[in-house]
Amino acid sequence: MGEHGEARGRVAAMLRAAGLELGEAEVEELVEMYGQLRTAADSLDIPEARTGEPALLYSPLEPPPAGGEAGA
Amino acid sequence: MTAAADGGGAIPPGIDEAAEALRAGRLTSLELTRTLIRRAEALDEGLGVYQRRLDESALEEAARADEELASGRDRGPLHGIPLGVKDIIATRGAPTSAGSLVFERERPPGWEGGADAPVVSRLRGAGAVILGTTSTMEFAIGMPDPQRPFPIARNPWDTSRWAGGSSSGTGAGVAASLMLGGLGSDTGGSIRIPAALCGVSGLKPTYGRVPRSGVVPLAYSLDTVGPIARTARCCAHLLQAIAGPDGDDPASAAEPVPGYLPHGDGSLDGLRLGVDRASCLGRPGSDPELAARFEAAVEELSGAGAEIVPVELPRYEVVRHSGALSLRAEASAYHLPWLRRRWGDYGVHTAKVLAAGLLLSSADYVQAQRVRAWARREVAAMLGRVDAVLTPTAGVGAPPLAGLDHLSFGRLPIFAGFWNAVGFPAISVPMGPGASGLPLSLHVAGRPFEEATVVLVADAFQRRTDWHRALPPAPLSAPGGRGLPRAPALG
Repeated sequence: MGEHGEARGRVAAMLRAAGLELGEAEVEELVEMYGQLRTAADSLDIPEARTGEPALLYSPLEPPPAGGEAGA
Repeated sequence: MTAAADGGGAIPPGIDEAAEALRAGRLTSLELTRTLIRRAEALDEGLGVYQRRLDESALEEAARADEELASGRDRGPLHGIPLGVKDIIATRGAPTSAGSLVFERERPPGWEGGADAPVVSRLRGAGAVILGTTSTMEFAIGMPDPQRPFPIARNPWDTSRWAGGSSSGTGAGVAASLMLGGLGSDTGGSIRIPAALCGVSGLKPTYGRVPRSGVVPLAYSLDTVGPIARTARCCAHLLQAIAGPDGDDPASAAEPVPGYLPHGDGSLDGLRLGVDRASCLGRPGSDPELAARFEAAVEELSGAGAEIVPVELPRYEVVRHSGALSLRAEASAYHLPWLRRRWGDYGVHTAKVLAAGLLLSSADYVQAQRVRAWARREVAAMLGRVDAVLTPTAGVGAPPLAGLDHLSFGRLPIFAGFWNAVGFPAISVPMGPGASGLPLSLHVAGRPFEEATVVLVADAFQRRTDWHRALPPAPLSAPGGRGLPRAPALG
């Protein structure tokens, strides 16, 4: 299987796992986007951030509000 | 500068001028609102600014504002000022569409137009008149899609071109003098990009500064709500009204709200401004005038008294990617249930961009947050040495609508997203035309919760230049208005 075929297989599997059944043409476009996304994601592996903690904050004391989406 | 003959009356150029005219008795809010409604009737079919106009309630609100002023009740600078609200923000009387059939065909509870989001109720409390909801890219992430039954905002400088996005309607509406200001949202540049492409001012506040409750989420860790208006001062008036804690927004900050309006004479004495040329100038596809325009803007700020210091934003591309990937992953999480059931209700661009977010791994997402944590510290350290950082907002003027899609958009040199990744405040203000004759803009970013500093710098620039006074060419500008001034010769 060539590089493209491998990427196509991965993309199709990830979409299926997410519960999306898309047509051939749509999957093909996502394969193209996947290459760009993968390059961007791989670029995040920088030494400066390797030992850092992520920017996620949780307070154990108080649960956040449910997140009032619509008008209060 | 005065706009608008089509509407029958003069439209003050900014909020300060309108507020002064209202109090001096030269104008009533009702007259101004009627003028803007007539102007919208004349122009909006070709501009696509409004998703839904609220003419009747706007006229009632304007009449009430006049009565209050006449009786001595003055709610402040926004009293009687007509504004627009991006159609992802809950607005009483206007069911939220988010520019999508997903909402139009099966509106989720809470988005029926029965109540205002806190930001809208704060504007109303400050006396503002809500003219209507403004067009948006689908769910603040799509691209212009003529196959969908929603208005596509066109750029008032050239209606064959894009107004920018995703707060497209508010940007185009301010540029075309259909409103004196309005609200947008900014997750990856969606306030500053339309402001820049339409030649007006737009401010992205610090993450957590302005409540997002009652706003359709795009990406939880990035979403902000803020103003678009003619000038930095106008933006400051709007921000003053909407900033502050909100118990329904988990990200809402408890930081006290300072005064945002710049006082003084526009002097920047004692301020150190970092200038990053390396990250943003010389990019492929940039306007040939970009560097000269940017250097001229930097020169103006130096002339206002600022010390100019060369800086380089840390790992610019990596940090930009960390924000963009966070955005995709979080947006996909919000939309996945609808993507599964209602794929066909999404526009073709939106569906693909959201589905692409599903191709990232959980490790990718966590790594993006690690990079963002590191970047926040690094940029905060840089902003310990300088008071604000200057770059262009985008390397190009407004692109043609024809052929625009998520791939071509992704190739445009746009420099706004870095600041979403770190969450710091930033403003975009016009800095003159590019070689295409379309507006280019200056971007000023600052420390967390120091919106007042970026407004101060932008206001100092606007005191020394006239680019923010330029109006789109006829028929959008009126007698008394003028098109974009000819560019002075640049050396």
